[in-house]
Amino acid sequence: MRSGERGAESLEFVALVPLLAFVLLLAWQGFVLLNQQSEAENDARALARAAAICSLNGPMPSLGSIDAASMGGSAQVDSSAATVRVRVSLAPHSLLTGVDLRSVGIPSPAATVTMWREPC
Amino acid sequence: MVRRGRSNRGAVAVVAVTVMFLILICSVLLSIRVAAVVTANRAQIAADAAAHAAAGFLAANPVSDVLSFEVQQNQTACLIDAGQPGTGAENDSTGLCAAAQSRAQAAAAANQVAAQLTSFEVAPDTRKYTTNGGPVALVVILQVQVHGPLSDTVLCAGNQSALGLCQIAAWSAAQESG
Repeated sequence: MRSGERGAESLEFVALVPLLAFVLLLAWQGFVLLNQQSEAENDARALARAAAICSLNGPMPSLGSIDAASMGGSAQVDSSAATVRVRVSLAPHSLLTGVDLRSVGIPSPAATVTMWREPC
Repeated sequence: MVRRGRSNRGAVAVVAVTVMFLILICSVLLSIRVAAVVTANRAQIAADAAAHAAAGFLAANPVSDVLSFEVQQNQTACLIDAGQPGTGAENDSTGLCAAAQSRAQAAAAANQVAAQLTSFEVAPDTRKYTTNGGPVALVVILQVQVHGPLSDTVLCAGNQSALGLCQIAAWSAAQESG
């Protein structure tokens, strides 16, 4: 190895470290979003179950009351005589403070559940 | 200073490429597994919606008492299982069994387009048996199957459902109140 190439491997490795860190950060962010997707589906199922039962049993719970981690999320309930359709959309949680993932094209974790109304 | 020989040249590059390759392989496998979990979750939602839709349908129908008597006398009167010969909606004289199954299938498909009911059973709730032999509340038990993340690949061409990634099934049950 010539004297001018000394430490080249170390430099290459050091240059790779940020790339590896970036890949790991992306993977972690992906898992956070997938976990939120699962939460959205569970929230939608719970709200749809509540909306499907007889309204005489009490008022329908809010999204915040069934999932305290749904800050910034929204729930839309479309009711007909026979069915209820609940769509829950959560604000995507970013690992980087101050970065709004929606502004860079990341879709919000969302789920839709349809259930038939149960008789009173 | 230790001088490295020719064989050490590029060693870092080889390690880096190997690590990247392993990360890529792990990411692909993990993505398939995650897709399977997400699909299983949706299959469960479809199954729950189907079971509750059928139970609600039976609860609202006054003829369900007749079906209650029928399933108490014949446990397969409302058992529809594609893989079990001798079962089918024709065993039920009220027609409610087929109608409830149709409602369940519609509810499953409303949540997961390709969801298919693979088994459907209406059974008496044995906890509600009475000494006078009257009608008892009914229980709906069903299974829903949806396409897994690898269903359209050559891996599933031989119907290798054992992989758990070709077809994903979910079980659910619901009962009439009362």
